[in-house]
Amino acid sequence: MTEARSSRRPGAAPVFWASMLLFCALLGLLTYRFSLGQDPSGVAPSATAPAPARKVIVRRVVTVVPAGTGSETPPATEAPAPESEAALVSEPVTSAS
Amino acid sequence: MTMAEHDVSFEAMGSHVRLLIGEPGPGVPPAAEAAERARRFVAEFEAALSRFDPASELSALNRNRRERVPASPLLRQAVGAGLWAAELSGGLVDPTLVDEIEQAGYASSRAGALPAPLRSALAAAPARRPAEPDSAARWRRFSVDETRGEVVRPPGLRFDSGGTGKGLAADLIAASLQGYSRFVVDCGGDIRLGGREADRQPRTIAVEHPLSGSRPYVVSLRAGGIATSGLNVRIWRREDGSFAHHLLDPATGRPAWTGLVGVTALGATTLEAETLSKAALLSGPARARELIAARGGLLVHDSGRVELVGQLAAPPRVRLPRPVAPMAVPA
Repeated sequence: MTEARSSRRPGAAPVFWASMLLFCALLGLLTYRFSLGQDPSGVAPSATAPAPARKVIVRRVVTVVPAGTGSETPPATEAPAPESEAALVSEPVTSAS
Repeated sequence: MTMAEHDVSFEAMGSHVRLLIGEPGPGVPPAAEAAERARRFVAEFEAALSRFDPASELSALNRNRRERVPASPLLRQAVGAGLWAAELSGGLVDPTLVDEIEQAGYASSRAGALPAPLRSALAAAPARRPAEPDSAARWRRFSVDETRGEVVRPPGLRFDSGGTGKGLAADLIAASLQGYSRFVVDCGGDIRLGGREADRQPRTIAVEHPLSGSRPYVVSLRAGGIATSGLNVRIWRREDGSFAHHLLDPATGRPAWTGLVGVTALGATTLEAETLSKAALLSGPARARELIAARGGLLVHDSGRVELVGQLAAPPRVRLPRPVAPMAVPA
């Protein structure tokens, strides 16, 4: 009885290598899903809480003052920036001067 | 939600100045009025503090043969800012190197002048070494007497506000814009951000690479200052064929070649950021990391390699894309 039971017990090496193989396979799968931008938790997008949508419309008044202008500022160009345009407004740049 | 933002640009102080001003708070004048006031202030600032204008108050101070010279509040602030920067940098940002900068070939404004090619200058530059403070520390002989409204210094010792002027201008304009929802003051790349609602949404600032001219990094900031010092703009070829630039080693009085071509630094104010970026560039790579580590920033080496320091070097957090497409329109 005792002899038969011990003979069915797997060795340490196969268990170790099988675990490593399983770990690497799961790691590879997760990496692949990350690279696709998918949620690796497997939760369907519809089941997640939707991100709170906040719509911000920026009304931008752009004025470029030409060199040599005195105290009078030239009329500004004013327009509500469409959403796509608002995103394209150039960001400030820090540079040597 | 609808927001208004005034975006005003003009040329001043040999650079491009840009103001982004948001919604005024209760009792605060409209943004257009604030922008116009700021534009006039910059014009006054330049007229009073230009080293290149013989009619400026700064030039009059430098010509004056008396030890104590009555000075306007603006000039006293400028001198105070220069001395503060010298103290913070241990004398590396030295406002008294007027003779030296003129001898290097920068005696008149270089606004609009085409810079010499930086790569050629680097190839011809002497061995790299960190700059050192001037052991004589002449800047310590300057002082500001606020009680009597005077600047005090030995006659003949001249002052140059060029190393700190744009940062100070940005900070002074910022002080007048605190009542607006958000603002950005950009004085030739020395930038100050803030406003009542600045904490709600960060603003992105692009960083220009001094060698490529590209903008490979974007810094996200809510409030405070950011400034860049570099060799790529105020650089010229002298008659003997050698190259010179405007960042001098105070110990030698000659242009510093330290192994860095650009440094961007963050600061509580633009003046602090500008001082840290100059001091770091002059210090060379090893000491520069220590100087800007607390506030954060980035170094650009002679090779073009960019090194992020402090909070900018923090590893990015992994963020999964949102399942729903964001609808917010960035300001």
